[in-house]
Amino acid sequence: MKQLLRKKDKDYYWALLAILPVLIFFIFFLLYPQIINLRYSITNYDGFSKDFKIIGLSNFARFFKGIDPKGIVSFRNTLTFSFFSLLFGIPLQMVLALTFYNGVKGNAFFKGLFYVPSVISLVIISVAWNNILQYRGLLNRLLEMVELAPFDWLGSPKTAMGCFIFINAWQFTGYGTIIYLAGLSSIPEEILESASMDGAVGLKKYFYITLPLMMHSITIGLFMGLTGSLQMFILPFILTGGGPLNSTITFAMNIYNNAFIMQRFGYAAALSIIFTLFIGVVTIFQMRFTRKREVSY
Amino acid sequence: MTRAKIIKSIGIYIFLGLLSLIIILPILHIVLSAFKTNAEIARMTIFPGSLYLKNFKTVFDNPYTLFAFFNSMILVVSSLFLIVIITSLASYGLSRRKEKVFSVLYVVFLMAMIIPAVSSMVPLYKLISSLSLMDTRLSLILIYTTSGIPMGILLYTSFTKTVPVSLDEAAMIEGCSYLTRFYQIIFPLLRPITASLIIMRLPAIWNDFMMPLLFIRDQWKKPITLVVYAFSWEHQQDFGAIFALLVMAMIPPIVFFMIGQRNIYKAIAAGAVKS
Repeated sequence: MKQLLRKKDKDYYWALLAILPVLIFFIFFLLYPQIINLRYSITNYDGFSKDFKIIGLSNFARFFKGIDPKGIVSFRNTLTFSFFSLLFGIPLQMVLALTFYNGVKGNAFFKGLFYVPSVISLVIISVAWNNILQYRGLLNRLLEMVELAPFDWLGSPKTAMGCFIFINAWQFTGYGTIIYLAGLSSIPEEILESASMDGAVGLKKYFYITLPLMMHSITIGLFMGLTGSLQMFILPFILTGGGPLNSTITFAMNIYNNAFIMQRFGYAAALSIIFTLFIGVVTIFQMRFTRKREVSY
Repeated sequence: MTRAKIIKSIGIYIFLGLLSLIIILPILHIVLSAFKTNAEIARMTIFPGSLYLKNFKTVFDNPYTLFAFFNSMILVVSSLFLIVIITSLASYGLSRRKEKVFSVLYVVFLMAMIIPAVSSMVPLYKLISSLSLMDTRLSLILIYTTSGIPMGILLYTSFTKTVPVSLDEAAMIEGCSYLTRFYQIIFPLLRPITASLIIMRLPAIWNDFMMPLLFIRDQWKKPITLVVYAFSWEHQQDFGAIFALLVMAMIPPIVFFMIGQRNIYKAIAAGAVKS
């Protein structure tokens, strides 16, 4: 027995040693980069020259005081994109989840079909949608067939962001549906049955009984949706370059442009820190909000 | 069936049918256009006049594009291998030991989930170039491995907790070392969760565009996403060839999805349901 205990102590060091590879990756490629961000965020570093100096918090001021003409705009665009993607996406996904939960013939077929866009790379999706939405594209061709006027969907500041929101909601319809379907399926049937017997039916039953009981899946769905959409980069990068009139430039794209095109490496580092903090606050707030509404049974 | 029920189910099918159309139309458009001549594409005919295959020949004639599939495969296989090996081993200790240091590390690893990839692109560019790893596939493998840590730790730690400790104790009495104990006894039992992890991470690595955009310049090292992007710039007049490449690039993830469909749903559900 004593020998076994000694062995357990040795285990302690073995366990630490076994964590080391993960820890090394973690420190080197995740933690250290954030330290690099902190270091450059207070400089006017351009990305390559050796003489740069510390300029205090001016990079942060550049963003918050609106000196960067694209800073606040890109932030607002990102919020718009995220908000409306989720606003249109989640209710649709929930209705679909409910439809599948109640069971229709061809359940598996529709589920599979709706899921397909989410496994395809956004680069492919962007190139494809570009061909559909451009002025001489498929959509306008279809509109002409029913004698409607063609429109420059991606070239107009009024509709370009709308297109992105649509594409994003379109891509993740199936993915979200699977999450909420899992949430629905995890509710014990007896609870739903007894709720029906107590007179809860239709929408009332859904909002007061079903929804709170599947809140955990909503926490996950919102988390995935938020962290994904707030980081949107590929759609504007490939489809519009952020235009027209900056109407589709996102925060991620502004970071990229500043770092790799305009050689404002220090400022891009500051933007990255602002972005990390922002995402952190949003997700913590969101988790608290939905977690509080999770009920157990 | 009552009349109301019949009307309701017709309504449901109309809803699902319309939605299917919206979902599938863009994908169908890619596939159909890949078999059209450029004249047909310019005229925006809905269906190709005949099964025109020259677009695919254009793609096959470009050696980089085919090599890109190989590159993407290398990235996926090596990153997933590393993720599985290091996070499963780390999670064994994290789930078994009761000391504080392990629970602290566990939380720290999970918190990494909220650090957005976008915030890392600027410093990673600096780091990768100072390590002289620019223009290497290794740079991407290291980054993808790191990005798999939070999910790997989360899945493996919670699953290892369900493996009875008596198995460890039996092995300990047998005199097995820590590593043999893990690899011979515990790791084989984790197979379902290894499958889930691979299923969840594979598309993310295969489809990533931002990191290769930053780090890969060499034509021969570009993964498929970057080649699709470059190809669609270089062949702006040859839409047929672009569509052919899109079709080819879509096939691997779609096939993977069709094979693993059930397990994919299960893996997503595992995250969405409180255990």
